[in-house]
Amino acid sequence: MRHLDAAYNLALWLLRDSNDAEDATQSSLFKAFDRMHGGDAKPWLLAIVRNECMDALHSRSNRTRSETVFEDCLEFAEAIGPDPEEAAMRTLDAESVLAAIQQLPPEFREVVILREVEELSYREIAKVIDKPVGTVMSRLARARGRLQVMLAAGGEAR
Amino acid sequence: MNCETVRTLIDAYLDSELDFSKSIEVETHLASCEKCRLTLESRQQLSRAIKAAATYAPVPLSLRTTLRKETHPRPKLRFGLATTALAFAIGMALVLGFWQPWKVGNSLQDRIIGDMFSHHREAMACNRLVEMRSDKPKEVRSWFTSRVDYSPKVATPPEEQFKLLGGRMEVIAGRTVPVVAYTSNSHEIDVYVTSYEFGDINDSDRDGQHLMAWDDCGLHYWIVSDDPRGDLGALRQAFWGPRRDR
Repeated sequence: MRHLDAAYNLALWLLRDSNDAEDATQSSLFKAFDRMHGGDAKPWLLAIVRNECMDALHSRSNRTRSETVFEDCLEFAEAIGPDPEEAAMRTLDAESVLAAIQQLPPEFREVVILREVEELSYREIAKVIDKPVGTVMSRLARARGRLQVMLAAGGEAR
Repeated sequence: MNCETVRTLIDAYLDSELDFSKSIEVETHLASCEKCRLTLESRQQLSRAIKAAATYAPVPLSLRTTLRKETHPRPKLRFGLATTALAFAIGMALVLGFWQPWKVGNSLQDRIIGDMFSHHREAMACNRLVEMRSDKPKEVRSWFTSRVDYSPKVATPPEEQFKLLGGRMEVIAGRTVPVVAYTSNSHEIDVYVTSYEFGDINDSDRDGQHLMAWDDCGLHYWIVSDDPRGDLGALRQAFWGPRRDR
């Protein structure tokens, strides 16, 4: 089945739990089959998956606390931005890159995955998350900035 | 452009999402600014690292199985109240002569063929035979792959008289289907490619237009043109090889 991998993996990235991701993918695909659609199916299917996952995230009760605290800590570092020279020098191992993406808030995580893994255009991403293209651009820029800050900090800790 | 502006645009630049004039401005700045160049480099490095690290996780077998079961359900033989009522209604309709089910198949056929003929006429009249112009079958085929979930064959045009123009999408009987457009001696030729769900196929003529249909590898191919049948045969052969007896 086309796009099944894309659908499941977006859900996995957003929900960070394989059982929840399976549930979300399954109900998204049922919804998708209900209103079969010609044209460009992938952004459209991923939009359904994304909305399903956001609903699931909202209904999770144990969420948010650790993430909000984390966001507060980051605001300051992000405003300054990483020192580009330092950021460029560091080697990025897969494990810490994955860990850093996992720690992004979902609104940032989704644009990173849709851009870097699914290689969607800004316009397609805007369609998936139902936001203007300008928002996609700024979120992606901030998300990458955060990732660099996190990876730089992780490197120093070692 | 100063460093601050460039830094807000650097991601869009990296993703090739800036318009031409903006990206020239960014490039001009980058040529003279070491610091912004390093920023771009570090972003490129990050982007490569994410692509390399975030590979697809395999879809669980349980999910695949559930989906296959749900999308290709086995017919169930259970007569609930609704079914009984429906059967009764159909019976009544038949008795009263409102509805003639043996004509349903024909009317779907009529609709499909009618849609194809009228789209073909409109496309010629409005001179929009192609949305994607290319005379390379591979390019046309890959343009289709992001638009439909099956792989239509795009034949290399036979002989010199035929020329591949490109592809477009049309709505036939409520479904979006790919169309391969050719030209031959100033006749325009459309080849509609549909899934087998469109039912039986037959050749047909209407108002000086001709339709020739065949199936191949589970897909249906329909050539529509005002070119005489004999000439269409050559194009069909390119798609399919010589006509087999059905």
